Amino acid sequence: MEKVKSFATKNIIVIVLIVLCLAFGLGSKAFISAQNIVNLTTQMAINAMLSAGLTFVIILGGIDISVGSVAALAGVTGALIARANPEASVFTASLIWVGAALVVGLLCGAFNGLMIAKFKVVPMIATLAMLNIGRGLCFVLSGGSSVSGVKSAYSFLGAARLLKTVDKPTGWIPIITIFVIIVVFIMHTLLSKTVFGRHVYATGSNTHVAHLSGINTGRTIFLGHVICAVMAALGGVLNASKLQNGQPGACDGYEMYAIAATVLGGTSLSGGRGSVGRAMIGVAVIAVINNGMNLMHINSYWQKVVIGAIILMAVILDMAQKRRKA
Amino acid sequence: MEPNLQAVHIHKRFPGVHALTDVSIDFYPGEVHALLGENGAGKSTLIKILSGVYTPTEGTVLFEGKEVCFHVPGEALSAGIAVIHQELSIANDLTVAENIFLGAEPRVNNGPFLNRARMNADTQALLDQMKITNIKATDLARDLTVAQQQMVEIAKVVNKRAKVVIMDEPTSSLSEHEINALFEQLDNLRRNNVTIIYISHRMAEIFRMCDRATVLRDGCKVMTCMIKDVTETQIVNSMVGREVKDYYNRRAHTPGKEMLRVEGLCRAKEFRDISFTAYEGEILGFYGLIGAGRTEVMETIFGARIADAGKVFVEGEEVHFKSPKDAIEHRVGLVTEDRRRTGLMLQATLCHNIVLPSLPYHHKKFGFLDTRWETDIASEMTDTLRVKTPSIQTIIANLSGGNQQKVILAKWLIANSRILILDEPTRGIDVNAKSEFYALMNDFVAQGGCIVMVSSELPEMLGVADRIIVMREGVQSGEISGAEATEHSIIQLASMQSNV
Repeated sequence: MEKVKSFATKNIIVIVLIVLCLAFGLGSKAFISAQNIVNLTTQMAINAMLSAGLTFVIILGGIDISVGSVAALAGVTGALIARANPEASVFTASLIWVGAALVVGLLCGAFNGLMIAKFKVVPMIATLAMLNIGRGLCFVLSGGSSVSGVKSAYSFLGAARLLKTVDKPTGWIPIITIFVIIVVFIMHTLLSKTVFGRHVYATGSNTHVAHLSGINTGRTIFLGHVICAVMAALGGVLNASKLQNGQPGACDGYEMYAIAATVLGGTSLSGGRGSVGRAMIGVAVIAVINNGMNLMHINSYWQKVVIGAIILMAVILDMAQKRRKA
Repeated sequence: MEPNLQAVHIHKRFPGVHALTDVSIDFYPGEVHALLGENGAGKSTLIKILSGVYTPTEGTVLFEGKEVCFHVPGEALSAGIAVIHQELSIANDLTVAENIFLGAEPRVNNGPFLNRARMNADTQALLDQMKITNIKATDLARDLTVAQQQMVEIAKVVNKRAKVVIMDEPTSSLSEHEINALFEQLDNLRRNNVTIIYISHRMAEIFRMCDRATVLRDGCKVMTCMIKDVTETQIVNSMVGREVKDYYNRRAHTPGKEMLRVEGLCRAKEFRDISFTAYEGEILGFYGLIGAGRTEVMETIFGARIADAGKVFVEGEEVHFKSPKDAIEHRVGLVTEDRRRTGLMLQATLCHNIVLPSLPYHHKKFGFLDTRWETDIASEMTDTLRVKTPSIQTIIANLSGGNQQKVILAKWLIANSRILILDEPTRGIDVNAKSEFYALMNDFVAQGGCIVMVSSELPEMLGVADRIIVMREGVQSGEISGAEATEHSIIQLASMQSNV
């Protein structure tokens, strides 16, 4: 019984997820269907990318509120290149999306990293600047309107599905889900099983100690921000691929959901603890709430209220547990 | 005469720790009573109980014959029990008068408005009466020296008409001249029948100033005696519970080749012209008052700060450490003076802490961690150094101070350090852990290592170091061999001032 209680307190959010699934499962027959579960994974995809990258930055003790803008910027940039290359094959098209994401992510991440690690700008302020610059560039590059004219080859990453059957001629397994699972798994491995990942935890736990132990904390923080921005950019091109256009206003406010998911998963905002896997649980909770409430025809305005309340509850429980241990 | 403050069969328990066991002490008006004991002996806990910060788990406190139960420190203060801590409680941005009258400000007609004129006048009168001539009521606290700030704290307790004044290590940052001025004030208090409880490690001062002494060890009272009835050796022996020479695990060292040489090291506003050599097989001590610049010198040698001028040589070769990483590559290690702030990742496990600087040298291909090696080496070191811990995966914050310090030492042994810089290595750890730590230090140098030890504890310096270099206000003021060093000669070098 002790072991169950101990497991429960350390994994409150998993319990919450299970409870929510049960509740929505009872509230709406459609919730448990295979179709809906597959849909859930596509709804989680963008936030999963943003949240996985953000985990690095938050464990480092910082924050990045520009992820939504960076995602949109990557989407717009990719769409512009896509529009200029209408004859591309599915393979080339996918490469163009990923390439655009890497370039945009690297540039934005390097900007954030430089401001924060070298010039010691407060992370909130530096990424606030990037949020505005990024969003502004979206409108500048797109001329203010949606970048359309993107051929269907470009929708492979975001919208295509494998395993077409009689029941579901459009296919069961979304490519976007496979893509996200692979990338998130790589990120999880990077954070939990490499020396770099251990340096991220150390720098976030106590920067002085990390520095005195020979870790290049400035470089670690810089790379953390680059990773975060690249993941955000990848999320943005997946979104643009799904919609088959690049909207300058895309992913508006997505940073808040990404931060919420990371915190819900148990990554402390003060740094030093957390994991990509747990952030994914947080992503699942948010997606389940949105999905379930839609299926039950609950007013969508209430969704934000519910999510806000759950975040607060999760953080309070987390703090109470920490106080009891101390 | 009746005692005015009594601790009667006090017990204090914390989760997992019995901090005080059946402690009973009587304090009399007009006496200066020394409270002695190693770190972790229970002095701070007892003081906190007497001053209202803690309540005893068992037992009572009697003040002026009546049982008192303080729930907050403010109650003790109102009753007349004041504490002057080692870290002074001065509001830097307020004036001397504002500090002295903090919480008891004189008002205009008892209304909401501050009567500043009265406050300043009363303060100046008080300073005059105490014969303090170098401070004005309107001086800003930030502009005062540490010694002057301490005077302000004493003036504050005189103003409050405190009946008991507890002073915690009052002379750790003072020059000899300033210490004399402090003792004059204590004499005044004594003449006014104030009880002074004096916590210090400095034997010379205790024998000069105090009437009686109580020694605590591991939470128990070991003895209370008149100062004139005991010797210094007897007190130190009762503090550590065994013969002093065994306590420090002193062994003969034969110094070998040069390991670390520093020439003309300077850093603006921190230190200048630091030159010394440390040899294989020796423990070189660095003594000085707080603010002398020792930590800054050590951090500069380690590459955590960059020198403005000067050279450093490791094993005869000149080195230019631009960051701690360079120092670690040259097998130098630094144990910092504040392990909670700069020595440990408190939220991480013992294992993660112990392997941190060694990760770049022990990993699998492509940067993947070698967790098998980590757990093996962590277990091995924990056994060798006898670290008391439930497992190597325990969060390090849950270990005692002494065990945490062993983990930090182990961290550098795993990183293959040959030169170890230890900054206040036994601060805040209990008697037994200290003794074990000294043994580990001696093992290290016996195997060919070199230790540079910064310490503010004179008995430790005298008991452990082979040679002692003294620093004062950023410069080296002298060097004494361990055999010739005395407490007096070291303090002199540390605090002689050319002007006040």
